[in-house]
Amino acid sequence: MSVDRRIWEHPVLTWDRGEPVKFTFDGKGVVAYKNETIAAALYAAGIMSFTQSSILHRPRGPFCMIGKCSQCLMRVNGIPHVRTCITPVEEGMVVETENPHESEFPTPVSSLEVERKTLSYDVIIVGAGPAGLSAAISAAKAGAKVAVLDQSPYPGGQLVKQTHKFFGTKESHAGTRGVDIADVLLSEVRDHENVDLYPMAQAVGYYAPEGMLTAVRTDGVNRYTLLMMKGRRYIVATGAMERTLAFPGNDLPGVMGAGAAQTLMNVFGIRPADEVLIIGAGNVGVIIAYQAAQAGIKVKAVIDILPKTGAYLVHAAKIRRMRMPILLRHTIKAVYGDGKVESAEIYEVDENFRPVPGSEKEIRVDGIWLAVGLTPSVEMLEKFGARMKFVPELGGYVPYRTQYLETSAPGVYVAGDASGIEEASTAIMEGRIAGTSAASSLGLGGDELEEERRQAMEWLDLFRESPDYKRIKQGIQKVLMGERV
Amino acid sequence: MSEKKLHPAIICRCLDRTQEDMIGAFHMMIDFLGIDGADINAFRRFSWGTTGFCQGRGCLALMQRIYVNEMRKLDVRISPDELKYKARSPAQPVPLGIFAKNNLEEV
Amino acid sequence: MKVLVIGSGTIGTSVSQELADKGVDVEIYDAKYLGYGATSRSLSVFSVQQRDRRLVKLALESVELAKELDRRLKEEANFPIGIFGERCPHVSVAFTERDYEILRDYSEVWRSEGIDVKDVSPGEVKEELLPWVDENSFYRALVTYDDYKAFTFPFTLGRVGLMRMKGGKVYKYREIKDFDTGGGRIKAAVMEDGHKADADVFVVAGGAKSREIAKKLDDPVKPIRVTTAGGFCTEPYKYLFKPVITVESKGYRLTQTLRNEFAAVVYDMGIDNPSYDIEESLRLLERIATVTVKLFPSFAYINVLRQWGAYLDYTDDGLPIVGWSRKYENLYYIYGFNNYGFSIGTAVAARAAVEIADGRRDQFLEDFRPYRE
Repeated sequence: MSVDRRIWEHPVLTWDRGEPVKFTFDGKGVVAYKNETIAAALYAAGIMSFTQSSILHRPRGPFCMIGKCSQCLMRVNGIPHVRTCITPVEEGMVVETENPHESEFPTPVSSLEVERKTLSYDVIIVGAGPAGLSAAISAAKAGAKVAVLDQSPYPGGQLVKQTHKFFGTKESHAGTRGVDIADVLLSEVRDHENVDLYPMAQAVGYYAPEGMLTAVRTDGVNRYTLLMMKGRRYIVATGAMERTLAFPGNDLPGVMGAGAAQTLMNVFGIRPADEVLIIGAGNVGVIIAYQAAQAGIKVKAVIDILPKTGAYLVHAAKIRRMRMPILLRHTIKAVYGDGKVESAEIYEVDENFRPVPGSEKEIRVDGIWLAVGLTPSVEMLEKFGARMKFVPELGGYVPYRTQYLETSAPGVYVAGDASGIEEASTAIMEGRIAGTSAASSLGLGGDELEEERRQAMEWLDLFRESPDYKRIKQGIQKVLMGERV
Repeated sequence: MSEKKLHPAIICRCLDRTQEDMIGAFHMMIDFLGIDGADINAFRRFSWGTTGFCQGRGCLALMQRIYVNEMRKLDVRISPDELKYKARSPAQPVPLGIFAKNNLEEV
Repeated sequence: MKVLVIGSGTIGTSVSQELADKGVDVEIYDAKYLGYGATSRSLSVFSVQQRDRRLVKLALESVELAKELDRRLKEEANFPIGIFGERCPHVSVAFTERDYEILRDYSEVWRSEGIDVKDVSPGEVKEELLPWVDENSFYRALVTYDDYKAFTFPFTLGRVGLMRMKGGKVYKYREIKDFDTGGGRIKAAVMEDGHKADADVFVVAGGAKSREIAKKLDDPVKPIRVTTAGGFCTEPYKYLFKPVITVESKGYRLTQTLRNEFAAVVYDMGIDNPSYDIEESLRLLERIATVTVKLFPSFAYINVLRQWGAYLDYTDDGLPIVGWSRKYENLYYIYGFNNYGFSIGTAVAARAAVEIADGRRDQFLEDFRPYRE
């Protein structure tokens, strides 16, 4: 295959792709690199249609790139339903397309190896993004034995997809690029011998009858470790999930979540498209537009149905300077194409969000990225039995919590976007509060720990004083519980 | 533009349910159960949404929106807190063999 | 006549729809959503492999009634899939010689009701019914061919639809907290918010929760044992796997559903008196996984999509509790269906509806009365 969508020149990022490896896709040879997942490698080779849908037989391609959307299922080495976007390539792998509803039975080429581990920790943290890693550092400093689980092979959460410099204050790593903040936090975590970091470990559930958090770590093809963990305290820092939209053609290969596009561009160094329409002009939308330009992708337009952008002015101004059109009061009508995205039709809306007649425009693009907001990932909190409430200001269902971020489930804390959609710097502070609180409730730490918590809370209060945070503060009030004794 | 093929809007990618299918399922639920008997769980059962490979991650939010909109057309106001649906374990599809013990006597 | 039915599971919806057909004014109340509880967690198999002749007879009767329900849903309710039913073989697997002897005793019961039972070797099972089975994993199997598998949701919610077409009403998330009683009668059911619902007859069809209702009414009915159960469902595969498989010694049952997923349940984990929260447990997942992979090694690679917990209402004699209360003349009990509510519930509910609406006593139900020793 001659197509190579990999980015070989980038103003900020470089990639350690590893050694070349060869595998077959429907009988044809594909050259990939060791640090790529199957889906990333196929995308790099110009393959966009990964599976056929079950009933309508529509072509589908990856939408999330984090193992959730089920649009990249293939048969790998005789095993059906493999999430190719999170499965690393291996030399000689046999990858085949299938109709996932009509899969043939497994005919594995190697046998399943499972190691079972029963483990105890003072604090178990689910999610190794800015909140989880910060919580781990704070709890570890107080002397707690800590475990951090993360589903992805590259801990750091959304930070690893951020190429821009953060603003704010020194405490929140201002002036540092997101991807570098992740490195700083990770190296600090690794400095603590009392923290065990488990990448590629997916929390499967919290089983109340056994009082056990269960996670499955993928060690390779057909090799897993079953982690059965008891924690004295738990911190849920599972971040957020991308929202999606319903419009004709929303399933065509080439339509994907902004997070998926970021994963391909920034984590793997692969161009997801050549010309793109971005839906949503909030922070994520404009940041990803900037990142697209860095990756040599032409942004045809960033559209938003609202009359003003929700993004920070600095970010919006930056992409306006680059002459990318931000079309406000515009929304998507339909996406067209035969087997993949070929064009999009957008239209303008009036103040009541009704279409303005005759305002339809066709834009030729091969990628549509949805940046239409995030919603907290709260599944693990539900499994712990935390009481939830729908709070629109915080992005969806969120847990009730004390000012120290303990939920209604005793001993279970929340931090970061899972507590309400904010941003990386607030996630770091929330992580510190949850981490210090979990440790101090175990009688660990002393005045220093108390001081760290006080500072983080003070920082958060100050940060949220900004007028942009008025809504979020109101949202938090709706789910704030009195302090647990 | 009109000569172009208009694709359906897909709500549930796993089981291929379009926006039209979902709205149809909603009304079948109302016909069967009435407004008093309807809820998000019944909607899941009539539409088969949330029961595919993605465990509801792709469709639930869109289904909740359809539920609220269609109910509004019937003059019923739904609070989002009524639409909470508790996701089941496992949080990610995992191979059965991981949980199997070697010896039948152990279980 | 107005009847208030407590519970919207297999039994509650079946009784209600049968009553509505007889022109009775019916209202169903459920503390949770419609079909909550053991019903929506069952494999929806009408199994003739029961331990008692009377139950085998009721299972056969239920299959016929289910087919009639399927026809009515398609024709009267314009519901094209009906109850999504299919006749299927049922393979009962014995891991050991001892399991096999116990199974053979049960099979005498099936045979006595005219059920054809085949006694087969693992090799024959593999060749004729289950190509994926590991023939070295078990001792022998007994197979019957009269089972019927369906889908739970069109069964219960379809019943509600038919009932509503006859004017019946249904209320979800309305837990009955108390009763107004007087003169040996129940006057009204009282909800948490103080709302009262009156009726001429009250039917308790609350599965394992019925115990709490009888306790509240201080009615000395036969006790039940409430125990944990549960199951799981995998990703779909090509539909090739018609039989239902039971491992009686592990309280285990598996089949491929007509939506191509594999679904399995364990119907008694042997943990008594759970809280009424339906909690997923790791032990249950381990048991189902272990038995499944033992029988079908390649299933180790099949992904579990979701699991669930349940609780069941067992009686010490293995028979259900069906009939009028002695304490309140307008109170009728129908619960205690052990693990076979789906298998025989349809027929029992139809017979109970006759007792409730027509005041006639059904001789066949005499052995199931609520105050038996």
